Amino acid sequence: MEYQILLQQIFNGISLGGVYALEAVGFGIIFNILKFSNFSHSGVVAITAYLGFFISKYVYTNFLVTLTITTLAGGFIGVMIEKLIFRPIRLKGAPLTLFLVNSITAAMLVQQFFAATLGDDYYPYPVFMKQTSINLGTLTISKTYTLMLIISGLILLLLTLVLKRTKIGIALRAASTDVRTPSLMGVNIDFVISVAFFIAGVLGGITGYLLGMTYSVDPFIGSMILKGIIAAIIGGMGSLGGGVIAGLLLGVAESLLIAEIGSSLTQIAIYSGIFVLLLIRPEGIGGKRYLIKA
Amino acid sequence: MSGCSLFYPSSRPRKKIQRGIISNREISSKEEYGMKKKWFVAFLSLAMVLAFTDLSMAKEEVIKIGIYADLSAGTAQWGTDAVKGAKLIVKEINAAGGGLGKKIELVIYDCKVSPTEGVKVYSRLVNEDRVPAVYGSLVSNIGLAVSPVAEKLKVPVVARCMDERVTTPDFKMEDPENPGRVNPYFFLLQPSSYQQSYLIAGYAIDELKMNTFAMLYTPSNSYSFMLAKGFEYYIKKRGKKMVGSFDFQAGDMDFKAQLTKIKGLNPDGLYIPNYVPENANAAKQARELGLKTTFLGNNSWFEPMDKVAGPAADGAYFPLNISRDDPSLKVFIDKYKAEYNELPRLHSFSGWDDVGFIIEAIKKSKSTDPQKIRDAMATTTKYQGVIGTINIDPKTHRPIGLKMPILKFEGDQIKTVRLGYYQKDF
Repeated sequence: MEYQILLQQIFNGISLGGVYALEAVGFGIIFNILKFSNFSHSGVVAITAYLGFFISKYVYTNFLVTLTITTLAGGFIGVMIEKLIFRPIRLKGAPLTLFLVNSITAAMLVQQFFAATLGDDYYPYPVFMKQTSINLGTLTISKTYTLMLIISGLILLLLTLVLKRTKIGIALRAASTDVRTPSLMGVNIDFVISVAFFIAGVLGGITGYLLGMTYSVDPFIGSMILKGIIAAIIGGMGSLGGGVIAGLLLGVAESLLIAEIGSSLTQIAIYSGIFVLLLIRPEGIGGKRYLIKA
Repeated sequence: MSGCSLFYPSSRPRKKIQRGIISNREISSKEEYGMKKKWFVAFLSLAMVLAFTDLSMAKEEVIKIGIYADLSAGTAQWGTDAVKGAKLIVKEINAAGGGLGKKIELVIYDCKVSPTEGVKVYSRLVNEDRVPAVYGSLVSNIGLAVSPVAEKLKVPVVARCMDERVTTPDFKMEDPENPGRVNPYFFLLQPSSYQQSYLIAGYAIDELKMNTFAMLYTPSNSYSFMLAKGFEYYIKKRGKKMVGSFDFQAGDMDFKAQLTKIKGLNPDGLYIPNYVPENANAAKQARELGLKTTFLGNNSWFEPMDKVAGPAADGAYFPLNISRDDPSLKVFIDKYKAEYNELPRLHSFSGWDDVGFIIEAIKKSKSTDPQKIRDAMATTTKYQGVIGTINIDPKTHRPIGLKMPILKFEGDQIKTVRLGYYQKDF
């Protein structure tokens, strides 16, 4: 019996970790290039979570259609955020702290906007599929979580292909080592940064949609990316592979610990674990050492 | 304002010449003194003007009642419903001539589900709006923050904070029979956490014949925490078994780890006493994990739980302050529907009752003095609220012996299974 529970907890952890991994990568891809912690990612998540609700409830109730629309909308919102609040200060050569401040402000703005306008009601997504579970022996696997895991996996795979095989992927990777040099070599760096924000936005869109669908939507849904940020830190800021591994690890660790020692001690254990890890290996699991971090 | 010149120290320069020995320093301090005097006079005249306007405003004959409620974020639907209920009763009482021959006026602030914000707007209602009584947010965490401030500012608060420590600050969880000192300025108008958890636990033991229990609650919400503690206390007193007690942290939305564990323990009943989103997520995830245990809920399992959890809540039992199937509530429900074009939810009833209770106390004390209103509240018996007859216990400031209907989810429909239930004593 214990063994089956353990197996079940590991599966729970992986499906939870899949979402953390998505968040960590969306967060990390911006850090990679611009070297600041982009908290406005939570804004993208919140907007798309609400968008997904309204589309599936009032326009067209279909899992894939809504997913596609929210994903693209997420990308678009990401680009808009970059153009509106980051590009102006980047062109002025503002210090990194200002980027950080702007990103937090944007996140707060979105959160407060939803709290003020839509805060007095609950927004449960329509039921796309009957919430049933598949029994594999004694293991119970829920459809939604499996779907979440598959989508996270596919998207991360696709992203890896884009980064490794395409021209823009190479430009992105070049920019992540140094923003200035590629621009001297004729790479349109503004475009590269826009693409980075688009990809981050796409990931944010999927995250928002999955979170909104599994849980219900509220103005503070964006704050759920905190775990993703933690995963990104453990993984090594900017290391996408590290972020994925850390996200999965965090999910599994949480599941196992909560069941055994309770949720309050789990948080203490996890945060002190992170502290120790960063003392030993400040660059995280898969990160490189950066000189500037904000 | 011509009076000002009378006080102007016009003789000062001459003095300076006459004496000739006053040091520079002394001169400047004297000048400062003159300036101060000038400001003092200006301030005095301003104060007088204000005093007069205040007097003339008082002639408008209104009695203000303060409200701080959560109108945005988190539990905003409850706050909005409460304010709607409150406005409706004020409208009705004003149409019938108001209270003490004056119109009742509500002063409403949003406290945004934040304890610090709650303290801020309560102080503002007392110090700036000068209200004689306040209807407060129903969130226990806010109540815990406002309670000591109310004791200092001495303006009574009526609220739905179920955590016992809001009305009796020294309440000990292990010894609920001795509630300790009462906060003279805070009142609860519904069964408290312990009372409500006893009720559902009693129903589960006596009517549903359950023997083993587990629970999933959050210590970050004092309402959920106290319900869980009360439930555990009652179960143990009745000789039944708590096989697993699990908690989660504020903001957590994924309870699969806890629920998987509970599934292994296989209790007869699972008590889930949290707010709507957490309850709904717990129910949904439990069903997805194939957990078949009967859910036992708190009074947050009512609407919009049916909408948020859907059929996952099927089979859950929970106590509620009211049942819309109660024929005696029809009058209120019709009035509410006519006004807002929607059915009243739980806290629409709360708002109506609580503000009605405040107005009753004002009428009874024949005064707008907060102290006298408080005294009237503390001795109120047989107040006919829509949730039942409220008798305030002066020792705890909580109502005595209120029965509650027991409701049940059938699919995503909420049905009343018992109109007025009260548990056995242990």
